[in-house]
Amino acid sequence: MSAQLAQYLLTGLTVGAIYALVALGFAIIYNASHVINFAQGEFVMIGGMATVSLANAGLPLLVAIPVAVLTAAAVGVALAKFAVEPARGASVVTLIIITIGASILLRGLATLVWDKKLHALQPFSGDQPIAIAGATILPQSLWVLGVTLAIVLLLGWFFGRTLTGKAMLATSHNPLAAQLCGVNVRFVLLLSFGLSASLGAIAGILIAPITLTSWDVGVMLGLKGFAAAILGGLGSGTGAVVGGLLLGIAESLGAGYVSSAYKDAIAFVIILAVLFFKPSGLFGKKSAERV
Amino acid sequence: MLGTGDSLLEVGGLTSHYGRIQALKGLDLAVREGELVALVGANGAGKTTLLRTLSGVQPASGGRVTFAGEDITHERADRRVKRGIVQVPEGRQVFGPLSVEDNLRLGGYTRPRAESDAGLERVYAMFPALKERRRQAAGTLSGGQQQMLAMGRALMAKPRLLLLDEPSMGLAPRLVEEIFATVRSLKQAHTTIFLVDQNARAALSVADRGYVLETGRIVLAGTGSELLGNELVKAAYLGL
Ligand SMILES: Nc1ncnc2c1ncn2[C@@H]1O[C@H](COP(=O)(O)OP(=O)(O)O)[C@@H](O)[C@H]1O
Ligand SMILES: [Mg+2]
Repeated sequence: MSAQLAQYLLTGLTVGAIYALVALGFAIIYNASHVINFAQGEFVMIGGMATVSLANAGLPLLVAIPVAVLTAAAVGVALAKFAVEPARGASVVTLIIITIGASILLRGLATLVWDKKLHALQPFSGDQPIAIAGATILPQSLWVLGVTLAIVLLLGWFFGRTLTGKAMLATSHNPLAAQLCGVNVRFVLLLSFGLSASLGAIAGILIAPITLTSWDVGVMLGLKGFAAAILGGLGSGTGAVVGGLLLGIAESLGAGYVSSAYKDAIAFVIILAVLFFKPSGLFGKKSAERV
Repeated sequence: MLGTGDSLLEVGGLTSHYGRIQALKGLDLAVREGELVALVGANGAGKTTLLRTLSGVQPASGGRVTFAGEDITHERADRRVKRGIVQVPEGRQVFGPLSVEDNLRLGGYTRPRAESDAGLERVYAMFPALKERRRQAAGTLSGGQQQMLAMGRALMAKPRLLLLDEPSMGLAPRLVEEIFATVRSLKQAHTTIFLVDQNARAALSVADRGYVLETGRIVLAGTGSELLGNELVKAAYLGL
């Protein structure tokens, strides 16, 4: 493998891991409520921006990061409680419009609470590149990959081994039967938004030292995460991870071998191609409900 | 005969609507501890709506539901399960992609873990076919096995009142017999049961008492044998 290819793959995997985290957020909320949460990108923004401002206020990262994640989770729960839950029974399209409205509101609030500038977050453990197979990787990329891997394993354990996780899956398959088992489906909805918001925030914090962050960083990352979720099959956890990594690698190779001008277009080409050729995505259920 | 103070479940003047359509038009009924009460009625009479309203997954628009002396008319569905009102819904509604054992564990969602372990053994003893298929996805089971899974899942919640909605629907005669044998053995174990079934003869035969529901109203009530001997019931539901 050429050093150049290795470099593209490493870059692609790093960005792809971020897309995967955002896509997982889409999947969890979609499963719990059949809502496509277009405010998902704003959780990414809140995570990054809150961490930057807390760090600038003098808090160590070890404190700033958990506080930022909890802030995003609280915003996610509030979104579910005050915007999505009251509209229960509304059409899927209405719910999607609500989340789009929420994302505009959250971006506006971010410019008030913070500002419209670009911000840098210090890397977690320096910026001395590490050489691997002729390519180099930033320590921050290792953080991105490591934390993403840990989260994927944690989610696998949560949904595969705990009763609460299984209750969430059960609710997504059959909310009526879940209620008859004594599952509080309203709690499942709030939990799914809180969990998705946390994942988004973590993604935003991990990537901030590499790409900078700002009030509108969630727009593009949200769309990329959505593309990854569609590619993998909306609602599939495995699909979200594979879709994210594939999209990241495709972008990186496209930018390297074709032109970086087309980098962002790749996500949209993928969305269109998937919707056209295989609407259920790589790992999606065939009967998945489409908008 | 209704509303004797010692009833586990008491329903008074219960109404329920789907939009402007009124599906329940003021029902009165009662189920005493340890009793098996059957509800028969034609398709569309409102049997499922009644059970859904009792479980709290369909709102009551009027009237009162009392369970063990407490008003639960507007209580949340999951709280009612904790109280012991547990339903086996029409059409089984198993969690298809989840394993048989996960389905059962979810049945015990409101119970402590240790109780759930013991409950699992009891259900497997009752339905050995489920034990053999414990790791299989519930969606791959046959209709009869899915019905057993749905019953097992409900039993995991330790019901004080078990609501059964058409447990024999769509099953071959041999399996129908098996389901009714299960209902009988649950009754012998003093489970309080409210049974809805298309098979009016079988349902009224196992029941202590029964009600006949027509377009959202109770039109007849009596002991199982009284209803089996009733001319109206014979003509409308027993095909005699
Ligand atoms: N989801 C629904 N929306 C509107 N009407 C309904 C709905 N479910 C049932 N109904 C109506 O309510 C009445 C009672 O239905 P149901 O309780 O399912 O009857 P049964 O279980 O006795 O066959 C019927 O007229 C049916 O058409
Ligand atoms: Mg019915």
